[in-house]
Amino acid sequence: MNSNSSADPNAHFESWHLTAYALNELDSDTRQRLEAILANDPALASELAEIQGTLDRLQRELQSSSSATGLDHDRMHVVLNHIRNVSQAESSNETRVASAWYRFRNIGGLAALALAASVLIFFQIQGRPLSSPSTNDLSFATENTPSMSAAPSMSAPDQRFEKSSSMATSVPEVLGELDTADTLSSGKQTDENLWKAEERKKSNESEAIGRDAKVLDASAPEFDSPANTPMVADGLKDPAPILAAESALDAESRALNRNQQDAFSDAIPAAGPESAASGKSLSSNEFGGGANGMAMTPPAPASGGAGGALGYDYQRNGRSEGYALGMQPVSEPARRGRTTERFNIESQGQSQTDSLRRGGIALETINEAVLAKEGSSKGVESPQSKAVELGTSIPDELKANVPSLNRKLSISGDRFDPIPESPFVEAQAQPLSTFSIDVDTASYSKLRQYLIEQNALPSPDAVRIEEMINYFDYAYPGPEGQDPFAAHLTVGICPWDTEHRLVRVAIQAKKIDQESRPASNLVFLIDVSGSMAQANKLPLVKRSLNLLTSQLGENDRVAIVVYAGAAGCVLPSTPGSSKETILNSINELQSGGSTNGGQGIELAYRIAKDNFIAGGINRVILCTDGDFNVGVTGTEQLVTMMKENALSNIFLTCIGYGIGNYNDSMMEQISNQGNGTYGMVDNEMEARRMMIEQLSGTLMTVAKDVKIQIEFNPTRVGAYRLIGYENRRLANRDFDDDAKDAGEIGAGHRVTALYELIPTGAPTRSTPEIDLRYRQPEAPKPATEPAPEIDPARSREWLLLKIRSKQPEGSESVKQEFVLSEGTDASYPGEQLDLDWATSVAEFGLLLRKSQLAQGIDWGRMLARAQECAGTDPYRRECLIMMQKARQLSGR
Amino acid sequence: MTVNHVIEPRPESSPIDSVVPLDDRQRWLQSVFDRLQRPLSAYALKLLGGDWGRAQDCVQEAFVKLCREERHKVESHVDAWLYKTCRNQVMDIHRKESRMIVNSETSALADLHSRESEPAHQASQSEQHQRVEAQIANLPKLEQEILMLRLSQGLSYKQIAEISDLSISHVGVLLHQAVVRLKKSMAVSDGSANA
Repeated sequence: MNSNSSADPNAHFESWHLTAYALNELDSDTRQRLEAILANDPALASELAEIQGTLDRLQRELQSSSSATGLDHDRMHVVLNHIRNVSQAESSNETRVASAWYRFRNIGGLAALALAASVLIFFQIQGRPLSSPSTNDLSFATENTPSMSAAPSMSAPDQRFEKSSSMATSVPEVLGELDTADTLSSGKQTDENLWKAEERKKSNESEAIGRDAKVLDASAPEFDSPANTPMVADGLKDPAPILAAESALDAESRALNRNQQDAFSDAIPAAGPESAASGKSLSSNEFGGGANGMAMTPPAPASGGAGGALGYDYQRNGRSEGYALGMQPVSEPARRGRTTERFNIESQGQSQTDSLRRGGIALETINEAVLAKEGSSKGVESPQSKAVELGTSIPDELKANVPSLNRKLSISGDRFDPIPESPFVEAQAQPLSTFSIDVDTASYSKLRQYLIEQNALPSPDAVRIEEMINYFDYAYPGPEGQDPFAAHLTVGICPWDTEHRLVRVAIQAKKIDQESRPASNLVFLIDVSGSMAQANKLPLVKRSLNLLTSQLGENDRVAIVVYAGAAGCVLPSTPGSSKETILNSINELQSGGSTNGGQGIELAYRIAKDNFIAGGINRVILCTDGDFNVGVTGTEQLVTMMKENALSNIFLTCIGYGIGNYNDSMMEQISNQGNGTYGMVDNEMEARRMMIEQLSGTLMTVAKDVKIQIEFNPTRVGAYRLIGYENRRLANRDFDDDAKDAGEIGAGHRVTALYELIPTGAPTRSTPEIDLRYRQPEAPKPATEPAPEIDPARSREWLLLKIRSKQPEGSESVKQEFVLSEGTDASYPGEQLDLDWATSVAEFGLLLRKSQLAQGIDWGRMLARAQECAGTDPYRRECLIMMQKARQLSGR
Repeated sequence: MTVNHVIEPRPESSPIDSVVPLDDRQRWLQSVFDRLQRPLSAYALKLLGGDWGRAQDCVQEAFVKLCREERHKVESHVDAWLYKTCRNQVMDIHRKESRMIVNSETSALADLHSRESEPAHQASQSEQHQRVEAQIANLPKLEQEILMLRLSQGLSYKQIAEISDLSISHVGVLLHQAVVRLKKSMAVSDGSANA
């Protein structure tokens, strides 16, 4: 651009200057020249105006179209990790070293952790009461006096405690009874809804699966078609006194409704075929909005309330084949009164109700209901008590709540058990809290998918708080010597209710290095059915296996079994050193065909048995998207097989891949029955985490049948509530029963549980005491029976933690005990951060679950705390993003 | 796979910024990342004709490479640097697959939009908007790219020149050509629409 001159009309310009001018891209010389020209050239000026107009319009259009998204979460992670690991040093060399170090740390994460632990180990004082000083001191001094002297207020409730303790004794029995019904078989509970949905689908030839799903949700409001209301009522008033208890379930009438559903199916055997029929019409109405053909005949009715039919509804990948593979009577313990057994195997976002999980949860429901009843009878204010009162107006409640019924059908077609919230339990009446621990984290991965990838809040039932808490790493020191576990107990102020306390129970299993890991005999059982074709399924399975293969040594053996239309062994057991052979078979895996998991798992177990490594890790690893078609074998047989194999020390790991139609409950049941673990892999980062970082934990069980029992000291603890673990609870008496199966724990795994306590003397927010006609009169306690003296030292204690576990190959359990009393120091540096983080995650979970019992939780405070304690851990930092996102989505 | 993969724009205090004290350089990288990850993703997506996964890979790689650069060498022109690195990644992909850059006959932008063709999006897209898109799609690929960089990404001619290895005036010429072409075709289509 030759220059100078001012307003010379003849100055040279190029036409592109017009656009550049409009975009303010010209240097000042050129601009001035052009302006001078424009001033004298109306035609040019109008052309400029047109260009300007075009640009404005384009800018608008392009802006609106580029509301693009940024990186997805795992890629974002990769970048953030790099940023975190960039050293201050400007030299690119050093930077590379740093990132190489990070990579190393990633891979050798466990080793690094173990190293850190060994540095910290002398801080760990095992078996000693532990608590965090800062939170502790705040309150306990003042708390102490009233509770020590058994404050006057206690004497009034005393009577109630008497009363309810007699009731409490019956509770464990009920629970025990319920617990004997293993979850899987309770999952077989009749659910007429499912039948209808299935039948409808079959008759539809289900081209429109996706539409069905929508229809189903949308159809809910049509529930109140007049025909079915009476039937609901029938079903309810008919058979069961237990209904009263069950109806006490949840304050949110939605849960009430759900509960009635369970009650309903429970009621069927008692009421006989007619009520079963009415059950069907109930559900067909309920889901009837979009039902085109529900004409299919119901399965052969079971005689005598036992037996039933198996229905398979199997659809994949948009192209769907709905067919009933067979109906086969299956004997069911009649005492449990289930009439129909059914496995629901489906895929791709279709609409069926989650009868399995619903059935599975019925047990929980009753469980809950009993507890709730108990709780409310003692006037601990819990929403459940409201539900009891509502019990008479159930049909209305049902009507009102059908939409929420369908909430369980999440946007992606994934299905989740409803999870009723645990109520507060009086420590006086029921000082024991027992649960089984296993470390699953599938719920968290699921949550991430919802929040980050789907921009949606998860359904509350998809949120399992214990799985969220346990997703993260905490720096708990491991046990010393031969002990399988170390425990770290702390108590602090409950952040959402400062009258309450929050107790953290942290249990750390023995850590074992990758290097000293015993030889493993792994059999991969891989679902290669059509639905696995998606990018986040089979291809991800392959990547996972590639990752795992890189970790194997010459003493390890790997076999691969695939199942689809037929099961087949694609890789006979091969030494881990033959990496090429293994990798080749992995990479040749292709999807296609239908699923027959039953045969596959038999074959897998057989191979595992044939190659059994005594003293090593013997495990079948099932990789599926949850469409686990159990084949004609029947669940009973399948479970028996899993249990038998667990007895001979071949365990099961289930890994769920992908999103959409992930049969979470089914997977969890299978895995729990097989005494195994399960997890979910939805991206490469998770695959890495599962296969490498947690390899020793995932594959090597350090203890099995791990049960936790906590005894609360009623002189300090008025009432308590376990946060999460809703479907991991055990009957108290099962704790000492070695025949009772419970969760297994892998090397280095840690488990964190939180209890919310209402200290004695704290306001219980209870409803005013109601004068009860049949209550024992005051002061029944004979003077001859003075209250047993409690050792004064013990009165300072909050609780006693007992862990019972078996060696992986043992059958005798060992018990470890830990006491939490006040005034003990943090057991390791940074404990407060871990505690705060676990607390924040629990709060996050409670918020997502829309907890009725933790109303004081606040997004802002939760986030603030979380930010303070997230540190540099990429997983925690990712969670921060999720928290932030969830807050936005929930409009707070 | 849905399109909405990513976190909404964070409110002023991003958790990423406030959690751990970052050193200067990390803070700088972080801010660059926060600012540019979305536009870069959109850009890569367009270059790759809507191949979301690959676009993501390219963007990730560009940022990872940035982490390895010496700050003083890139800071002054980090935006263009990132775009260019990202573009090179895309070119690598194309080279590997022996395809020309953005060579699919279907327009990249149209693809981009077909990915968003959920009902909600469709409803909000006016007919006119779609026409404009189609017209943009008829432009030579390089003009499309420059148009996007200038008008939707807001990069300067100078930056675009650096990214695309062209001279500034060449960028200006191409952009002008594109605008004039669009001006004409839009007038025609508006006219026919009104008729």
